Amino acid sequence: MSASNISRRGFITGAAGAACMLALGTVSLLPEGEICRPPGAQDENRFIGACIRCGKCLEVCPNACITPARLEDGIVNMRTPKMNFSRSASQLGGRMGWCDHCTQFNGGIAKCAQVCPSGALSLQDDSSFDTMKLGVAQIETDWCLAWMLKGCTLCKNACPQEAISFDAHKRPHVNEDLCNGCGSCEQACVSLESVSMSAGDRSATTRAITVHPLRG
Amino acid sequence: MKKMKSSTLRALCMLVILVIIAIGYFTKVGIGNLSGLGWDVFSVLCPLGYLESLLASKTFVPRALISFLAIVAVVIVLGRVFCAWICPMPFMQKILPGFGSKKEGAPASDKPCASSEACGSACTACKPNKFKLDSRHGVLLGALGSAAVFGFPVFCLICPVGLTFATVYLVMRLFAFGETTWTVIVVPLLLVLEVVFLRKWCSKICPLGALMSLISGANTTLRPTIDDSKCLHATKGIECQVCARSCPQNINIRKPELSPVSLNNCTKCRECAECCPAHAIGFPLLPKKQAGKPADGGEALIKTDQAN
Repeated sequence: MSASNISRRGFITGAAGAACMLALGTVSLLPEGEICRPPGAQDENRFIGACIRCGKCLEVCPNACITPARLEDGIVNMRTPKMNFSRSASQLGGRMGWCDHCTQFNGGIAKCAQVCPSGALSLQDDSSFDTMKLGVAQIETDWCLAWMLKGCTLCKNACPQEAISFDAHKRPHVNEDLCNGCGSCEQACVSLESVSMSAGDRSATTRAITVHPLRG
Repeated sequence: MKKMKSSTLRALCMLVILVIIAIGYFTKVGIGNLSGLGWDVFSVLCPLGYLESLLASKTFVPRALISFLAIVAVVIVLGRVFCAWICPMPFMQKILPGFGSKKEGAPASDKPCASSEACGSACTACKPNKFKLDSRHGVLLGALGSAAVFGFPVFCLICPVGLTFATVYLVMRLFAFGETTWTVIVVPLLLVLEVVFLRKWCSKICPLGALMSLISGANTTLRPTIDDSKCLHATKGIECQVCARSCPQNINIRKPELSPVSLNNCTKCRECAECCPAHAIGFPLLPKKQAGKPADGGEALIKTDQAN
């Protein structure tokens, strides 16, 4: 481009704007919270590159388990889709609140990935409820009722993959190979939902079983 | 019959789209928002968002490319119509008071021929409708470069269009679900800061507008056209300049060679047509053949130089 194609002032403002854009990019170097993503987004780097935060996936999810990530989850993650299996019954309004890969409402094809316009959520050909791996459930033994030997069995009853088993004391354990991260157990867990028991010096900040993303 | 003012019509058009999107948030059909507007599995993706996402993820997504090409086709036919009729940013800047810089367009309206000095010395660069780069293209380049380097669509974080719809969505979620988060404060705050302090967002910063003005270089339909048999300047030689002064984009359609901004920045807002005292400006669907145009332009230039 010839120099006469842009005024000096325009060039300087433009260069400053471009520098601001590059500077803004450095927020990606800040630490980010770990987030469970919807189906078809398990390659985090590819996902965060492609997601333009249009929110279409949150809108169409028939099970109401996708929520916009918050600032607290990291600046770059803000407004990207986040699996939230801890929504209360009143927020869900009768919807399931965990991910069944749209088995019930869309013939087993995850609706969120189907509508994603940028390809940030893109399903593998063999993706289904059984093959998906949104994350893996972890038990907070500090405030799990069953771990306090109160005899709660809600998570085990809820798990469609039979990934939760009890030990001799009827305390739940997660089989990480069987768990597909659907969030059914987290949705069923009563810790923090209705009456929460304080557990010694540590009180509940989340439900007692939560799905965490896979690392690496 | 009294016609509705163009600015009212534009505000209405924008509000209708906003309301449709807001309703869409609580239906399951997937209308989306302006970042990815559509119905169910069909969406048109924001063209800037597409380019950023392409560069950041380095993955080719066929459906996104199709949507990008569809937008390119729309911009070629309709020009930058998005900027005047759909984008909420100009509307918000109109209703919210600004700080920090003079009113948009003021310098240009004080001196409609501000660039005549430069034009006099280097007039070869000032051919009518010649494509000109400005600061927005620098921001566009920075946004795309930053997306490629840092691996995420950087501009989407601060895009006022995205922030507007995020505000609507987050406030709706706040009331519907009691979802309290810092995001519901930070997102509107960022938006208000952009609206209030960056008064020249549209003409100096917006990379989306820059991208569309690059594409709309190919636009020949619905361009503002002066009927020389009515125009006060053409018929009586009056230095009227009302069209140039009314243009929010600072385009001078009467004297394109003096215009600081080329015609591909036209957003079809119809302000000029509405302000023209002789009603000489129209937006014809197809361009008229104008054989005598360059000669007329040259004449106008000489007149202005004499006037100065």
